[in-house]
Amino acid sequence: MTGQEVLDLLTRVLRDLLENDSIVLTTATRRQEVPNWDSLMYINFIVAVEIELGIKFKVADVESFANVGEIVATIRTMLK
Amino acid sequence: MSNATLASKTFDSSDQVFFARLSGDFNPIHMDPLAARRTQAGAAVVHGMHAVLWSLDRLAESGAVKGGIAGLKVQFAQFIPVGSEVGLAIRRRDDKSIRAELALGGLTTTILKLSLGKAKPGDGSVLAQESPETGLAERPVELVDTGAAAGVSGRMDIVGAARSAEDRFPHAAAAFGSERIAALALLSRLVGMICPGLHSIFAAFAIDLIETPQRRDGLWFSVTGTDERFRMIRIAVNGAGIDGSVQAFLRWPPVAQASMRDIAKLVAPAEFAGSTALIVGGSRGLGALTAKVVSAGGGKVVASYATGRQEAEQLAEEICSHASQDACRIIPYDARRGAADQLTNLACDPSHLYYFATTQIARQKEELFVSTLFDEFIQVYVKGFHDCCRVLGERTARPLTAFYPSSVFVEDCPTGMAEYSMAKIAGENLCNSMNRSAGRVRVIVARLPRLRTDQTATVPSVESGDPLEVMLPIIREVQSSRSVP
Repeated sequence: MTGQEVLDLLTRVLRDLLENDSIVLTTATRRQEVPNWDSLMYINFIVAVEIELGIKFKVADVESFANVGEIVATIRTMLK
Repeated sequence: MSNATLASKTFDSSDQVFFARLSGDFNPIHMDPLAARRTQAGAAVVHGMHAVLWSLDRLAESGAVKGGIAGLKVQFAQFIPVGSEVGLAIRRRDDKSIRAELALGGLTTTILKLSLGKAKPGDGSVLAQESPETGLAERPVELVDTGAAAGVSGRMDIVGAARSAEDRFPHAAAAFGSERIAALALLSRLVGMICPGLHSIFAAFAIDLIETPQRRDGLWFSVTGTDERFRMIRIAVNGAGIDGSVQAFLRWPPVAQASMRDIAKLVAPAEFAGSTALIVGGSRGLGALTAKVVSAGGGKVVASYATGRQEAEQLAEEICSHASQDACRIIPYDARRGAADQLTNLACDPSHLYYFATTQIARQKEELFVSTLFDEFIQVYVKGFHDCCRVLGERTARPLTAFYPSSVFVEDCPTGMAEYSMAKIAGENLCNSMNRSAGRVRVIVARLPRLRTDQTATVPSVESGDPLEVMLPIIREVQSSRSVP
């Protein structure tokens, strides 16, 4: 998957979770910038992405992602 | 589409009692303010499902859900403290669905999505009908890890709840069916009392409505998955006209600090002999730990509590049984009130003050900066500290060494912590001024890292330091400076 494809997937998953079609993620987006994307919703998001892509993140990675770009990069590495 | 508030409500303690009886969910996070203050919520909070059922009742009353309901999906985003007003608004509506939100001020607490249409035909259950009956319980089950949830299943009787649900939520009952409304109420009991039980957070649920249910009188449940990494539990539910899943988290239990027995292994018996420490905020967390360390070293301790008298009594009992009968006394003390009146009856002149007075640090906020929150922090961390030092300094000729716990948050100011960080910086500046003056009080300040306490227990877990490992050298420094005039 290209970086843009992963980004599109993440956007779709988050929109579905938060019931908010106006969300547009970029690689620079930080969780705090998205309304209602709190810590529990973040876990829901991670789990939903895992199910969608058939991958499993390490807890340390999940805790360390500073922005969406880092999530995209980690996913692309895991899919190689 | 409309963003106007459809209805608003303040859930009070009588609402809590009503819904606990209706649902069977007597979890202390809803019913016991003292116990709730040691949870992530920091205070007693409304049953999330109560807020949902009230919302459905208002939506149905407004005529918004005419034409039938096929399903409901709910995310619980934030706690609703008891006594606070929430507003319900429809955010989006089309032929297929309604998206509504409950908000506290500008903060979304609950997201509801109703799918419009007809209920699915048939019962559709895949859950075992021989599941055991799970009766009402006074105390919630206490799971310690998600592994213990694997295989949990059962059945809850809805007959008793259906009548009360219909009386309280007549419009929702007419739109959904009283059995379904009762079944939804019982989801609160499922999470709060059965699985995960005591240390639970109800995160979300999604249900389809099932037509002509064959099993109207009960709700079956079965854990379908757990994720140890995030302490997350998924539970399938079926019966009484609903079929779906529930998602919950297992909270960390209140943090227990090191015991006197463990501390005594690290502190010499007479290391702090001859000192008397007043420990403000000493009933739990770092205050309680400091009380144990000082008394393990032979010092006398007066530990104060603002609300947790029972915890303070337990602390005193542990210390006195390990050290001596007069090793620890407790006093009530509220840092938001004047120190002079509260310290009038203090039967000793402390040589040391440890100031751990605090309020709930992590808050749900809708704004970057909330001035009332800043005022609250300033009162506790700055004004309260100064007042306490002033009164103690005036009542004795004995020099006093005070410890002021600042925080590494003043350096990196985490998101959402502006008010706290600013108040702690102000506290540090006050301490510097006091040390430059010719007063009797010398203040030692330390910027503490994130330590394992009730205030820092979160889901997901965040790495936190060992309180004893961090505090012991600080306490030794503070205690050793007592001879400084």
